[in-house]
Amino acid sequence: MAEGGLPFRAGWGVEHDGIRLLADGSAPKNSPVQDGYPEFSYATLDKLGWAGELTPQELATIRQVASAVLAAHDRPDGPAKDAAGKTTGESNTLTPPENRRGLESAPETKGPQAQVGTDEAQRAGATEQPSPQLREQMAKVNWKTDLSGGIIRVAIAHGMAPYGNGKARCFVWNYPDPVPKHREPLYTARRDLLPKYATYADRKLWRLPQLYASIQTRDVSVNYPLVLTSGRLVEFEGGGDETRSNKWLAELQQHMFAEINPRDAQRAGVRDGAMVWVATPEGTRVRVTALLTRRVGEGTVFLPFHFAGWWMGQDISSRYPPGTVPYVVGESANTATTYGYDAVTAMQETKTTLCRIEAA
Amino acid sequence: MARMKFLCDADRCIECNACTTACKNEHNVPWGINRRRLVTIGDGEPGEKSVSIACMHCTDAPCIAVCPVSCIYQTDIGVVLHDKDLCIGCGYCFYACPFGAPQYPQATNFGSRGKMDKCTYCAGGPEANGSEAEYRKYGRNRIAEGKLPLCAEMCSTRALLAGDGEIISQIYRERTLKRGYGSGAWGWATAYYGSERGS
Repeated sequence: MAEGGLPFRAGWGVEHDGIRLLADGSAPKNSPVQDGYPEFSYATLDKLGWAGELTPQELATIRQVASAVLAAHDRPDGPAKDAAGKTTGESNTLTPPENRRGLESAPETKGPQAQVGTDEAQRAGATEQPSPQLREQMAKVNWKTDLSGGIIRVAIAHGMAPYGNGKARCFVWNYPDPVPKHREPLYTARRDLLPKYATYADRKLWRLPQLYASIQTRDVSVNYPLVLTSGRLVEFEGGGDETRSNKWLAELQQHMFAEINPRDAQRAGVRDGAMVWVATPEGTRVRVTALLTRRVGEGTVFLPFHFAGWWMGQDISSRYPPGTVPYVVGESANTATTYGYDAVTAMQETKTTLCRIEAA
Repeated sequence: MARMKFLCDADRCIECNACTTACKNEHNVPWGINRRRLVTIGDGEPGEKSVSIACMHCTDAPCIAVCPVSCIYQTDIGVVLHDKDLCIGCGYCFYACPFGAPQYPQATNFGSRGKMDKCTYCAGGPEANGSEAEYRKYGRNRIAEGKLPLCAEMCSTRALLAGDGEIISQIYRERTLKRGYGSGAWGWATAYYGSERGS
């Protein structure tokens, strides 16, 4: 395994709703355990009889990490505890915490143990017998929190993955859609799909209100019949600012444009190379050059995202700080793209909205 | 003796413009002048093809034949270079060139052209290799440093090949044989003939 061929990470605990999440009868080649196993902690090494293979320095660091966690818990501003005195949100290699959200909950990876060094650990008298409390805490130090790297080293030396051997997760129970499901964008012209593919109900993520259904139920497709998407041009490997501030790249595309299918352009009375307004249901509009091409399908308009310096038809590049004006300026695609958040990451919606084309 | 050539595989070119950008940066070519440029045929239509074009350093180059001041010459490795001190900007080479390679960065009030500028195969000009005068007039001389033209070195899909014609045509032959289609070696039938055409 040290030479390649790792299993899936057992990153979501060992069981969910009575179903085992560890691999069933499959393991990397020559693994001493030919089945699934949870991620490695000091307790795992201890049970397997490999704890003795840790060097004294590694053991001292593990002990120091554990005592730092205990010390943090004893402080009044330490991590919150529930009624049973158990630290909430704490990861355990054998029982996955409830309501664990993806990979974001890992309180043991930050905090006091970052200050721990091996020398300090040895000065702290690691040779004394640890108290039962400390022993319990040491058992919980895992491959992620062990600053010595010893748990990882010993696991790999035995041909086992420090992060465990789990199943690939196709059912992501802590996502809004445990199995990916098509949901129509907030602004959609396909009203016929809504009964089956409606978006989420409005909700709040921490302090942030995220509107979904209340936007989608409002039908704007009569006035804004075309799909508007945005993207990158192949000659511009970076984002907008890197591109328009590089004189060689800026030369390649000197005008902000919209790719419009010739049929849509004809309906709007727009010629190739003419200026058009791309108006959106958010109430914004951008003034860009029309590029008539069948590269976009009928009903779709594309905006590249490399320009800035204009705001709704007005050149405001004079507001750049001196010396920072890009070589080329134009409308920003972000002016036209839209409200919306990814349901899991809260990333902004930049790819799907509606628009209307008008000759400018 | 090696015979240097360019080969653009139109079945691989993705119109990323890395070659043109690399060229402009390497030789400090001003805006509006392109020693190398991309031509896309049938843009946005099925069967769209892009080719990267610069001076092809032709066999029996027509620019050499028409130049009234004989400022264009071919080196022992087949690279077509010119002497900007002799060039009178008459534009004959531009009319003769099948690839539109010659460019004229300067213009005068009376519509006459300045000195011609074109792809040097990153081989500089008649000045001493690597000299400041050479860089100012012709750009970097990578060939003298034992390097190939930067456009081809930079090509992200290896569509643009530069090097000894025998070797790059061999690479291209193997490539077409393996993928089973396409003679997209754009411009070879025009640029090279006789014993220099290869396959």
